[in-house]
Amino acid sequence: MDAVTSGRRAPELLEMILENVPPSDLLVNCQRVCKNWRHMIQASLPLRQALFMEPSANVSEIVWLNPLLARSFPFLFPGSPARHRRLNSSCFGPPSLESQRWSTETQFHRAFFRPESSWRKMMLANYPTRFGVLETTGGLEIEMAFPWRIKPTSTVQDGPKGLLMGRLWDIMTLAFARNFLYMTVTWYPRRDDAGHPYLLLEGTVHNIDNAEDIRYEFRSLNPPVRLDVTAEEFMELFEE
Amino acid sequence: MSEQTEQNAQVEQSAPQILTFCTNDNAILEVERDVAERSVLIRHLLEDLPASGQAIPLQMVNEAVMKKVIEWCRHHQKDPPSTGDDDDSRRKTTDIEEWDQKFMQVDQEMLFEIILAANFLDIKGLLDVGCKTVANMIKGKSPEEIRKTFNIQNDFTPEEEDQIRRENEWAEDR
Repeated sequence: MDAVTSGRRAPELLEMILENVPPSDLLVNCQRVCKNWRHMIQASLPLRQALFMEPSANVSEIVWLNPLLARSFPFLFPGSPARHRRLNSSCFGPPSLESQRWSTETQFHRAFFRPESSWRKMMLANYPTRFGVLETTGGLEIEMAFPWRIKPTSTVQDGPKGLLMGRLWDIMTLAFARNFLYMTVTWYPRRDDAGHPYLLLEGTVHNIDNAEDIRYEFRSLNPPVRLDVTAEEFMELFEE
Repeated sequence: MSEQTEQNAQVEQSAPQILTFCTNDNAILEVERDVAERSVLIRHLLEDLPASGQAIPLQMVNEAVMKKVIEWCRHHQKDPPSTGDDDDSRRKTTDIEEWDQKFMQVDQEMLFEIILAANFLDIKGLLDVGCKTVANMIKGKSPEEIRKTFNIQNDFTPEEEDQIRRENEWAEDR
């Protein structure tokens, strides 16, 4: 029986078995069983795809938003978009972030914000995500009053995997640190010129004039969240 | 087209062709050709070999396992053949139909022998059911419980295992 479970004599069978295991079990438990299993999960393309570490190779597969991330960042994931349907998240701001279970100083908080935490390397969906930002002033009512739009591809430098969760988190928290009040994200399933599917994640950040007065601080995020993007890098997102 | 249908009808009317197999522990098993052809390996073997009436040797499978495999093939004889296009089922559920669940209630040794045989004989449906059955044994278990279940040696140092745990602790259930 070792022939199958150890993966030594029949690695393809271990891979087939693990493909049927839910991603959360793969991530949390299976990788710690032994070196063979760890290596298999880190190296196998189908298993990496199951863990949203690699994009799906099949261009006709339906769109799946990452359920592992959806559990931890529910405000970003309104559900899986069907082929051509756009999906809006609700408006969320620093208070929504502070109400998350990772926001207070606990063991869980520490586990969450470790630099090596695997959620940072995860894709948001089974296809690459491109991120575009729209900024509006004047709050929700005067949304789109003087928006200036940045082309999605020029906003965030993304590799073949597109935007990863760690990068999105850094951008989001920096946005809020710059006085934005709320953010709404909209998901659009799209295809590029070559027919490859991707997801467009459009973040609309709502600001108000003279927002200096109501600068929000992440009071309960203690220690403060870790940011990977420099302030200059972030400012470039908003400059043509 | 109609000619072919007639031919098929004739084949169906005649007595089913019986094949004989010799397992690696020298048992002789007789199987209807339709049943045995659930195995892609055997189907290709029969296409390439002239019908000789001699027993076909199966060096990778013993009698007990081959009997189980035949039982499964006989029950699933009428299933539509697999299309080979399994990409859409990548996010498959681990649902297993009731008959298969009962069929897979065997000791672990036999379970893995069946999986190895299904892989060798290229019987996709049986391989799937076998892999799903093992996957269900992994689901929801801690690393230590998994090691115990499958008798796997932990070859990590405590530091190495802790490092992996730290990466993924955020996703743990609590």
